[in-house]
Parts: sequence; structure tokens; C-alpha cells
Amino acid sequence: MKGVPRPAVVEHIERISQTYYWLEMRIIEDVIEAGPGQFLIIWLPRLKEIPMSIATLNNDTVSIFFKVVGKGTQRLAKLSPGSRLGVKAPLGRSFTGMVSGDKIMLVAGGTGLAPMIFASQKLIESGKQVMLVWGTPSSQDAEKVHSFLKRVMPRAVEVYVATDDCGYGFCGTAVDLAYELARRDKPSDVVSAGPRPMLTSLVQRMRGLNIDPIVLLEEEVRCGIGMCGSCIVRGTPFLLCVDGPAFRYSSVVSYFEHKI
Amino acid sequence: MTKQGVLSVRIPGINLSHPLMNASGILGNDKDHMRRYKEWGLAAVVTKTFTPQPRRGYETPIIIELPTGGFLNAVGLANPGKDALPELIDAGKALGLPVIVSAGGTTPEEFREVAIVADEHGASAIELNLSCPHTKGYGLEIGSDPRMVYNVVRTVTSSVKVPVYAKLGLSDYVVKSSEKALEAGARCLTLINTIRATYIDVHTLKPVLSNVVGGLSGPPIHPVAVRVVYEVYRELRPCIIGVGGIQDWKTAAEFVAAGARALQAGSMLAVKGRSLVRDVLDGLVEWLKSHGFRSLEEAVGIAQRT
Ligand SMILES: Cc1cc2nc3c(=O)[nH]c(=O)nc-3n(C[C@H](O)[C@H](O)[C@H](O)COP(=O)(O)OP(=O)(O)OC[C@H]3O[C@@H](n4cnc5c(N)ncnc54)[C@H](O)[C@@H]3O)c2cc1C
Ligand SMILES: Cc1cc2nc3c(=O)[nH]c(=O)nc-3n(C[C@H](O)[C@H](O)[C@H](O)COP(=O)(O)O)c2cc1C
Ligand code: FES
Repeated sequence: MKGVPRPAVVEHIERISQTYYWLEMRIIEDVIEAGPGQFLIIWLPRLKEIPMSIATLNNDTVSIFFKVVGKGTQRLAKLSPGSRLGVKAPLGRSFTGMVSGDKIMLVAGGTGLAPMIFASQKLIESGKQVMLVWGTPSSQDAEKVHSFLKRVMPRAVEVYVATDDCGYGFCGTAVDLAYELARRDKPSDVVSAGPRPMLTSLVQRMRGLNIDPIVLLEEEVRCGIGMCGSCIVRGTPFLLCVDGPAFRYSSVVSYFEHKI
Repeated sequence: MTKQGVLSVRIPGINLSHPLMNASGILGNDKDHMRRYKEWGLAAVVTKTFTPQPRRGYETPIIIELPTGGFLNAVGLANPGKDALPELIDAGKALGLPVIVSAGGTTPEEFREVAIVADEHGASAIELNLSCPHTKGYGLEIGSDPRMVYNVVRTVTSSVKVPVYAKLGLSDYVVKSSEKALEAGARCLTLINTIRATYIDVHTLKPVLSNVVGGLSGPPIHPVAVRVVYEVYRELRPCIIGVGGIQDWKTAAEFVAAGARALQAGSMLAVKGRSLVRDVLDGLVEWLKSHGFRSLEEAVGIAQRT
């Protein structure tokens, strides 16, 4: 029944910083179970559907972390408690079964932080050691989001922040910071989500450390249930909405070779 | 006889190693989809319906699952246009898959434009989508008018060498339309397409599909599809490809008993993938054996002998 748009209601919405928003929804008369990497599709009645990663999940209440890019996310940012929506979930596949070892490094860029919030919760619950590296262009966003994370993330997670404008945390990209930390701490596995150029540079740097990271990809998701074919991962037989969005980099090399 | 031998069956233009292929619109608009079809173990593949020009399709939601069972879609015939066909056909053939190109249009000429590209680039057959239930001008208006069916099929069969199949949907005139399609040179009938339907979310008080009306597919339409296959076979004894709600070997066997010699699975193939194909093939072999048939062909239309 994952393809049924289940009725849901907005419980809480918050503009964390200039760029980033947090929204909590309650699924009416239903609970969902999901693992890290899995996502949902939010139906904005008579407007459109938008795919969003699960950032936190507690029985019937699910949160997302997002930024405004177009008309769907604009509408999303203007919702208020009580607004009614539909939610298709859980979509995609959990990556818990893919991670190897007990010392996991999560590397996120921008809204790629969303699935990593959920991942750190789940990985800590299963007894792993987790460090999270997050990069965002502006220090204004960085500081606010960093303090917000303390509310929604397990305390056991070590969080590192990088900014391009150097005004907060590490001066540089998330990839630069992750590389330095990985050299020092030797994680057993690396999982990453963010814009494609960031993932490309991450896998290149990690290759030097003999790490084949798990990457969360983005393709256009139009149905979310394996029928329309829009989310085919370039050069592979994988559908992002069914087999992904998390893949071991070595199994999706052609995605990175394909021109945008 | 081997399992493959028992299930092998000939339809115009193709020797199928077994009767099961995908239904049009489950993937099939991108060359990378072919590898997935191959992994599923289909005997032949059908492309998404192609039109002369690229179509972006409707705004989302385009496909939803229904709480009452089955799926509802109004994709809006999204496809990259006929110029993308050669690459798609080549990709299928490179994997050893016979490719049936589904063609669509608003006029007989548009169907012909697509069919000619398919014919020239090595498609094994062309399936004319005369029954899309949700894209204005592109389907059911044609398929439920036997004269239009004749015109479209005739225009195409007179312009291409490969066999042409006609895909029809649920309408009061489906037997008449079938007759006209065959008269115009169609060599096989694909029955049926999705059925017009609507889903309203009572919490938001809104229809969910952006197009409001879509096509119902999956297990809920299976008995309707079996009825149509049964009636058309009884009246005309043509080559029929049965489609609608196949979810296991029994739902597949019913089509064969009603008169279908080949099968397509859509919704439940997307859900179950390779395990559906295995279930259907293994189950059909056992079913044929238990009734003493030496081949699938012997069982086609067997339920007509009542
Ligand atoms: C599996 C999956 C998980 C996702 N998780 C999240 C998440 O947790 N948080 C989040 O904020 N977003 C996430 N996204 C991206 C999100 O779905 C899009 O931002 C959203 O669909 C845009 O819809 P829109 O109507 O606002 O913009 P549209 O009108 O669809 O697009 C407006 C413009 O923005 C561009 N655009 C679209 N997506 C992006 C993007 N991601 N980044 C930059 N430009 C873009 C488009 O090309 C277009 O030019 C996810 C996407 C997928 C496939
Ligand atoms: C998402 C989706 C897209 C479809 N697109 C097409 C199409 O482009 N052309 C066509 O002839 N039929 C299309 N169909 C109809 C199917 O080919 C098939 O006739 C119908 O779904 C019934 O089979 P099923 O119950 O096994 O899904 C589509 C069906 C679905 C679910
Ligand atoms: S979004 Fe439609 S198949 Fe993945």
C-alpha cells in the first residue's frame, strides 16, 4: 500500500534559517515503518507531488528538512499546522543492510542533511559509532541549523560543520573536511548525500583512502512506485525509487559519467 | 518436452519462448529500461506508447495505488517522441529481446509516422494503442468507434511490413471494433487497456490525479478483461494477447482458457518483477501438465467448450 497517498496533517512547521525549513506531519490513523535512505512523496492537493527524504520518524509522525527551489517547495513552506496533505511512504530501500562495520561517517551537503538525520538515529540505535559532516554555503544557515540539530539528533553523534564562506565551523567544503577526518579516524564506511558535484568529488577523494562510499542519488521521481521509469539511474538497470536512492558507488559509476 | 518447449508459442512476427511480456507503459521509454526487462525474464517487450513528437505528460500525481486495490494512472503518454525509437529498439535487440513498439496518435497519419520508424528500425511488431482512456484525442475516442479503428489500422498496415496488433479497451463496441481491426489487417488483438476511473481523497475533498480521470489497472480489472477476451475469442477466434490484472499463474491461465495465446502484465509486474514471471511460467507448466496438454497452444480458448 506504499503507493496510496495516505491522509496526513501538518503538525509543525519552522523556518530554521534563511534557507532551511523543517516540517512535521502526522499520518492520520496509520503508522509507517522505514529505514534510512527511504523517502516519501508529499501530495500537495491540486498542485503537484514532491519527493522528500525522511528526516525523522516516530510511529505516525514524520519530519522533513527542505529548502525552497520552485512552486512545490514554495507551497510547502507556506503550509501551517492543520493543513491537509497526502503522503506516499515508505518509498525506496533502506540502506542499513548495506553499511559495513561499526564506525560510520555520514557526509551531507545542503538538504542532503535530511536523510542523514534519520540515518544517524537508526545507526546509533543499532549500536554503531556515527560521525556526521555537513557542509552548506553560508555560515548564517550553518550556525542556526547546527543548534537545531541538537534538538532532533541523538547526542552520541559527533557533528562537524563546514561552510564555504568560512564564517562558521570548518573553512571549506564538506568533502575537504570529511577527507581529513576520514584520514584521521578511519571509518569502516562512508555514506553521502548531496548535490552531484559534491558526490563526485567525495568519491574521488575517498578512492585515495580505498573507500567505496554509499551515495544517495537524485533523479526525477514522478511516480515513486516503479512504473513510469523517470527515475532510471543513467547507464544502469536500477530505478531510484525502488532500488535506491542509496547505492554503493562502484555499482553506479555510469551515473557519474553521464552528462547532465 | 522442456518447460520452454511447452510454453513456446507463435504470434505474428515473433516466436515467443513463453507467453509473457510486459504491458505497454510499465517503463519502456528509455533504453536503460531494457536491462530491467531482461532481468525480469520476459519473452518479448512492449515499449511505452510513442507519439510523433515528444510529450512531457501531465503534472504529478500521475500514478497512485488505491486503498480499494489496484492502481490509477494518468501519465499523459509521456514519451521522448518517435526519433528516440531506433536507440530503444537497438538496446532491446542487443539483449536478445524482440521489441514490440506501441504507437499512438490523434490521427491515422500520426500512428503511421511512428509505425514507419518502428518498421524501418527492426521492431518485431507494432501495437496500435487505440484505447488510452485519459489523454484527449489519443485513444478511447478512436477505439470505441469501429470506423475510426478501421481507418487507423488500415493506414498503418498498408504502410509497414511488420505485423500490426491493435490494442483495444473496454467499450460497448469492443467486439465490433475487434472485427474492424482484423478486417483492416491487424494480425493480433491486445485486450484490454485500463478502465476510466477517478479517486477522490475525502480528507482534502479533492480528486488526487492531476488529470482527475485516469485508467484503472491491476487485479480489480482482471474479471472484466477475461470477459472481453472470452467474448472476442468466441465471436472471432483471432490471435489475442490478454492483459489486465495478471498477478499470478492462475490469473494468467484464465486468459489462456478464455482465448489468449500470449499475455502481458503491467501493474503487478512493476510490483513483483521477476518473481511474478517465475510464478506465471512455473504455474502454467504445472497447470498444462495437470490437464494433460502437451503445449500451451492446446489450451488456448479451452473454456469456450462449455
Ligand atoms: C528521493 C529524493 C529525496 C529528496 N529529498 C529532499 C529533501 O530531503 N529535502 C529537499 O529540500 N529536497 C529533497 N529532494 C528534492 C526535492 O524533491 C525537489 O527540491 C522538489 O521536488 C522541487 O520541487 P519544486 O516544485 O519546488 O520545484 P520545481 O518546480 O520542480 O523545480 C524548480 C527548479 O528547481 C530545480 N530543482 C529541482 N530540484 C532541485 C534540487 N534538489 N536542487 C536544486 N535545484 C532543483 C529544477 O530543475 C527547476 O529548475 C529530494 C528528491 C528526491 C528525488
Ligand atoms: C502506469 C501505466 C502506464 C500505462 N501506459 C500505457 C501506454 O502508454 N500505452 C498503452 O497501450 N497502455 C498503457 N497502460 C495500460 C497497460 O498496458 C495495461 O493495458 C493495463 O495496465 C492493464 O494491465 P495490468 O492490470 O496488468 O496493469 C499503462 C498502464 C499503467 C499502469
Ligand atoms: S519514479 Fe516512476 S519509476 Fe521511479
